Amino acid sequence: MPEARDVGPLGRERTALLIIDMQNSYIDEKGALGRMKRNWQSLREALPGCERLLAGARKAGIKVIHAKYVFQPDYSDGGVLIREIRPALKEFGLCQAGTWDAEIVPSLTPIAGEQVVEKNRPSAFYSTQLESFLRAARIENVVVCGVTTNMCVESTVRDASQRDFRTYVVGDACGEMEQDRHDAALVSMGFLFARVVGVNDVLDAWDVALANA
Amino acid sequence: MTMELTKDKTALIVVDMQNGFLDPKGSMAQLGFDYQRLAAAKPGCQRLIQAARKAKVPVIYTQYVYKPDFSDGGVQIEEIMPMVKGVGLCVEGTWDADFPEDMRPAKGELVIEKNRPSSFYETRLDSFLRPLGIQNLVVCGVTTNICVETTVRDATQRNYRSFVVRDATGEVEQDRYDVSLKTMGFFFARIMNVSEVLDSWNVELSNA
Repeated sequence: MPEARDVGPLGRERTALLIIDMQNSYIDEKGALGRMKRNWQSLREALPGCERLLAGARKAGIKVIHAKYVFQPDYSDGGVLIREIRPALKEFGLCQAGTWDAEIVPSLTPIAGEQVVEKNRPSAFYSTQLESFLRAARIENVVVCGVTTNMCVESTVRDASQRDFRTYVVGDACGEMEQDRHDAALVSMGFLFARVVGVNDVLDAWDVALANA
Repeated sequence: MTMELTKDKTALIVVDMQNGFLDPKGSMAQLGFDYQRLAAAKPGCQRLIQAARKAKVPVIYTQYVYKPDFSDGGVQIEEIMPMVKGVGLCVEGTWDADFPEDMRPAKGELVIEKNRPSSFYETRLDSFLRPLGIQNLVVCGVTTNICVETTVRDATQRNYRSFVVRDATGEVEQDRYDVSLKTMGFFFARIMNVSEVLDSWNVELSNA
């Protein structure tokens, strides 16, 4: 493990964990990306880190928000991203409302009291209630994990930071299909938008010890 | 990628082409960043602006502007890049925040002031584009990985077709320039050259 990284004022107070798009579509072999023969395995590498962060957040009483990519069954809400840039996602039924594909993976299933934000764009802030949830709970620090590092995680992190949330991206709890885009996304986010940290840095900051750590 | 560009329903967005980023005496240069890689975007931007005027494509300039005390800078300035306060990056009313002499907005061209990377975040940009019926945005300027990319991510989410002009944008580090174009091309935009944009607009420039 690399040396412990600067977590600034991160603690349990005014902090939320935001888990991005950890859905069957992306990280299960039978999900849309698996059916497209894309590298879902690299995305699944984010799962153990997300599981540990979620367990830590529940233990520490930290607010948990799950973001879910969900499209209408006919993809009428997909916009130019689906219509013109990636029509294949529609053909393979990626994250279609009401399907198993769109469900959050079993080990991260939200429990009572955790909020789920449905979105149909990369950023979890765009046309969603996420910001209102965070403001109402007086959240200042947002810890972000999930998939994919360079797309939905990075778009969300850029938006969180612009909205003046102190933003932490957990590198070893994120996944991207290509290693170079994973690495570069962390560099980009670290340049102006976020502190790049590890799962252990966050658990230490929350003063949480997990039995299986 | 099926996106075709014409001059119809199209605007040119010139992102943050300001002295603070481009000039050897500007803030970025003072902080030790390779401003020459940013200045390299200038000839391409100038050709796009000239062509847009000829093709009657609206030109919109964004301008990064902070209050003198940076009270509007937020966490990005306070916690991640506090050093920009020391050099007064893009402080309102200063030369640093101004446009270079040789690429100033013409009368009738819009300027959007912003204090965050995205040109859409808490600005009037969307409100200018919608009434004009704009659907296509040709985006150039600096820096590729930060303000250009954040703006393009936002534009695409808002259902504008985005066209990023490779040789009219610049970043202080080559690797972040390369990967940013790859990222935008992956999901958010079509990547083009200045000459391809001019062809799409049916414009020839005498000094091309």
